[in-house]
Amino acid sequence: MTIDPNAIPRLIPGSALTNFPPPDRWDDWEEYDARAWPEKVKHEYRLVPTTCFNCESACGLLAYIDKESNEIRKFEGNPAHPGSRGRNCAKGPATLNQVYDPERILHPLKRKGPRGSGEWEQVSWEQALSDIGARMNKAIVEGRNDEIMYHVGRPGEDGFMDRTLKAWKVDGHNSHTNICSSGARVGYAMWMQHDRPSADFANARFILLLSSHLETGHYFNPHAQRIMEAKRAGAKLATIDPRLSNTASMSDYWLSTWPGTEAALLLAIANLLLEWDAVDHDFIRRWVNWEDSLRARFPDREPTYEAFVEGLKETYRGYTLEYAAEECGVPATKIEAVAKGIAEAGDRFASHTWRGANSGNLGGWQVARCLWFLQVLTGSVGTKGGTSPNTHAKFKPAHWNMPPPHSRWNELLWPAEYPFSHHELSYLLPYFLREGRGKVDVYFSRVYNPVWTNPDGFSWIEALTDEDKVGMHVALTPTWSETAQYADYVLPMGVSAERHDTHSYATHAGQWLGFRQPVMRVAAERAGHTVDRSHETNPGEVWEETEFWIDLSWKVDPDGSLGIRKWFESPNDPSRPVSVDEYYGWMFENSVPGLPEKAAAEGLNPLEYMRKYGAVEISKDLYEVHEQPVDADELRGTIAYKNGNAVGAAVEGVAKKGFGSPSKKLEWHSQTMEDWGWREEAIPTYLKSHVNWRDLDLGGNERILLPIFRLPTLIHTRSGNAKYLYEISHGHPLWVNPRDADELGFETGQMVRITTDSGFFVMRAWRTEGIRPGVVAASHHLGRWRLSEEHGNERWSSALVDVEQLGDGKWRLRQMKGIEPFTSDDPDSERIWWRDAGVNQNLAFPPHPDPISGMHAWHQRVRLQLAAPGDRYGDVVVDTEKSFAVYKEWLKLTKPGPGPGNLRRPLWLNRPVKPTPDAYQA
Amino acid sequence: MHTKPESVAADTAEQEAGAWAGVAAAADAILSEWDDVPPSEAAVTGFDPGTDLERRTTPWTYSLRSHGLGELCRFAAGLALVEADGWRTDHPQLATRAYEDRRFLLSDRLLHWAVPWLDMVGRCSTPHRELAHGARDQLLDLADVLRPAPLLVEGKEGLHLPGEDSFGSLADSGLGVLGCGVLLLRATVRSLTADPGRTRSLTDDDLADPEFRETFAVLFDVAAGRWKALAGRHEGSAQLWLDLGERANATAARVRAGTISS
Repeated sequence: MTIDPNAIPRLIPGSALTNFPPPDRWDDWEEYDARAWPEKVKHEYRLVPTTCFNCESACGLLAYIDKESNEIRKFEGNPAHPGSRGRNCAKGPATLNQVYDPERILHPLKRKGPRGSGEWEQVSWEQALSDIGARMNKAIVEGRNDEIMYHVGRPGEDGFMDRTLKAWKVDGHNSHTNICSSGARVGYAMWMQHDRPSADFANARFILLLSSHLETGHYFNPHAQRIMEAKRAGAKLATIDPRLSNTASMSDYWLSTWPGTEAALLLAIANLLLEWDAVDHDFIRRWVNWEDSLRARFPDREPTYEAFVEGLKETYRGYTLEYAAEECGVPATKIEAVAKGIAEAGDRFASHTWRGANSGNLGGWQVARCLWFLQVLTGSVGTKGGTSPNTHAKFKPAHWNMPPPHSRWNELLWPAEYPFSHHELSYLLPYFLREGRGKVDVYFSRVYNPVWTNPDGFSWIEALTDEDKVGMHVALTPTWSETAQYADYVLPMGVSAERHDTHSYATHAGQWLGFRQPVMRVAAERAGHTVDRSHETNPGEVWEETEFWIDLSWKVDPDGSLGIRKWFESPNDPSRPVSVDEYYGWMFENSVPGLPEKAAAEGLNPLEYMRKYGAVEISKDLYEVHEQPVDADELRGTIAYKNGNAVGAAVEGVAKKGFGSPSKKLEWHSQTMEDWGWREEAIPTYLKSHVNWRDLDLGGNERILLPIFRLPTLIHTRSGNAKYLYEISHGHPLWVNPRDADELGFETGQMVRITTDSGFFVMRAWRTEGIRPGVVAASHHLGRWRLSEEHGNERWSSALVDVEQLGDGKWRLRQMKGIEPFTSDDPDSERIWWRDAGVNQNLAFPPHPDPISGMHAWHQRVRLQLAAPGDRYGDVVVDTEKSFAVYKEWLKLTKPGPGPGNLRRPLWLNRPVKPTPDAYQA
Repeated sequence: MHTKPESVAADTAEQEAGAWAGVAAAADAILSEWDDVPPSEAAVTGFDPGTDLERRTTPWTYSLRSHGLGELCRFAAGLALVEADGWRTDHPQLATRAYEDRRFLLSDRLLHWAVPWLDMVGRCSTPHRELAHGARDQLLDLADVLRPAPLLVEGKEGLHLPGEDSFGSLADSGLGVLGCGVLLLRATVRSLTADPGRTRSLTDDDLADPEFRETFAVLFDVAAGRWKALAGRHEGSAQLWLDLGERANATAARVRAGTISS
């Protein structure tokens, strides 16, 4: 039957047609109360946008503020946010629980007894600021600037702390990144300096994930919705994961590799692409440093591109399908099918990897390097449907009145052993302190929970309870945490609806800037009230870091004599601190392209626009940024110069933006790595993991433990205050394949003891075919604990424990009781029906610092057995002396600097709060 | 305004618009020669969806010319085109809303009665069989993509009110509407009663005859098996057909017990 296209009516979307309240009605929105059904009870709302603070995606939220009760009734998606487009995962709406959590810390607290005793007294912000500021002032006056340390878990902002630390002249920025993503970052950075991928999933024809981006993972909500668009349009999805994640279950191909062998599989695909000549020669010829690579790896050959390609083929010829199938434990037919899919997709091949294999293994950083190799071979770098470097899609606004870089180098954070570490060696701090490498006078843990999250948390407790090592510990946190229990001050900071931050992430092929804001403050100001500080409108005295750091800086340098205060003075009245309106007003007015014009079109100033919409789109359909022309006056080798400074790449006689690597091209061979003593590792290659299956006694009771996979509905240890989320997710059994379970005598629900190199823990087994034989797994997030009945952690999510120091570094954590209902202002707290708090397995993991990336290799070689007599669920027993010995063993793998030019670290590699070049001199 | 002329999502939506238009054209063609139960929800199920349809079409500034199958499918085709435009002109909120409205239109106002109607028309009218069953299969294929009623393996609590299923109340709805598990057309009644002059109604006398009741009950037995088989082939709408099969079984039992009214 022939269909007449004219027979289809052309519908005209009406003005009322929206999935969301239209912005012009956000100040005056009405909805019926669902809970009052069947009565029709109307509520009047003021809708204020902000951005979620739970994970790193920074998705848009809309707070529905009831005009009558002046309470937030719910959070929904912000349709004006270009990254999340109005959609959220479960964690966004659960912000409501976090705001109104009856367990919440509402006022600044100062410890009364010894650290960890659980005794607190309420103090004022003024008292806290004055005490902390005076101690910092003394350290800076005495030249001990670097004894001030800021240890951040969830930054949730972009640039403000960089500015603050520069103003203080403190090399004290300490990230969580080396227990998170520095493996992948180094893998990407060695190609191009840019340290993460930004896939254009929506337009891809083949997607390869070494992650679980349809359910969790970094930027998962913005990514997942675009992956589904691609799938709906026919794209194929392949997932490499030893575990049948929700993502793997939604994939066309699930490749369940032996942990740590992923790079071998990727190189087998590379070998096939080269064999089939399914590579983009034009792209490689123009954008890979093939001349330098040829000279370095094949010095005797003709200096031709063809010789380079021949060298590539020879290098990877050994990665046959048969080899990969044997090494990785994946059928050759499946690997070949994925390779064909990638070859057919060509420049519409998108991929992503972030944690997982990169974070689990010794040498895991090579997984990202090998994955990017596939992007390079297929010429899908920066293309539509391909994958860009993140910096090409992330927008970084300038900050007002930026201080110059400092000239300091803190070896507690950037030790000589790890010149390539992408971020600070944060989790090794207790060992460095124990070795006497330095001390910390003022330690800020900021939305970070190293005692629970980092490996070997008992070594952290040892450090944090030793006042000779850590003089003062200030925990800036929106929620109780295991680490906050060992603080001197616990300072309540806001969640997404209670603070100012800006951020921009590489969620798709475009750029945007998001603005987080304290919604009750904005609502109050719209209603005509004047608000001086955000804690005036937040619950209790909950504050925000932006204003806290400004006011603290004034306390550090009250008379301006240290040269710090000037960076925090109001531009309009230097006698008072700069306000958030002045600060962000300047940023939006002066450094966000297109924003002033968009605002003017609506009769608003840029700050008003951002307060109204919560986000602005800077650009879209951003492809092949590396091809953009740049202004240069000299082309030499692969580099374009302007006034003697490298500004881009020289490509066929034209100056282009290129990449951030030393050659400005994509570096197959990294001369930097060779120069610093890592020649074998300087190209994409396969490094043997510390948990390689061939080294295990699989016939006995050894297995590989995967301990870091996320659950979709929780976020690290920040969601213990969200009752909705804990009602959904409150258990993390040990995944065991039935074949292993039969061999080990495990049944579902049985208690088993998992022994690591530093101790053991006890949890319950779960027989499932969702994990490959030889591998066991237990999720992240769960296993929260508290030392006191009513303080120290959220009762929605934590067990009451007894932590016993057995002497000589031996510790035992034992659960006294699991989760129970409790009485509070929230009647739901008496309806808690879940009991299992999980097991804090990370305590029993010794540190495994990768010698190149610095990444803690999370996977564990473990021994499994049924629980021994006397073992109780949740028991964790650890010997920190053994952990220390493991640290020392891994330290031997390093090749300490200084490197060429007496440098502590290659100058071109990024690092947070980058100091002046002279600070790099050892 | 930035546009995305190459949007693959738009291409997919546009293809779906063609599928909807195909069903509309088939329905119109059948209707032009049809004088039995018309293809509308009110006629097939006894429920008049007028108010609800108005609520669904008003936001798109569209007025339905009828509540028949062809017109509803044209509306759905129009929504698919809006989705395609939404992706191409970078109005994702319109695209997703058009998708959502189309899915709910299929789920709430179309699939449950249109498939049984097309199925029975094809069975009772040989000249229309190819057209009707082609349109039926097209709707089922769309439902496999849009998945309005997938089979739940477990955990149906709260899905329906007690005493209801996907089609509403489980109370005896009589033989004149789909609630009994089978849409009775005139040709079926004439065949059962061997009376070419009959309308599609049965009489109390018909149902008082045990022999007739047994023959009649087999009609529902067979239908129940057919619905179950359909559920196995179309997972996106399987729950509907299983429920309809259960209804047919229940009706068969009532017919055999002589407790059903005409």
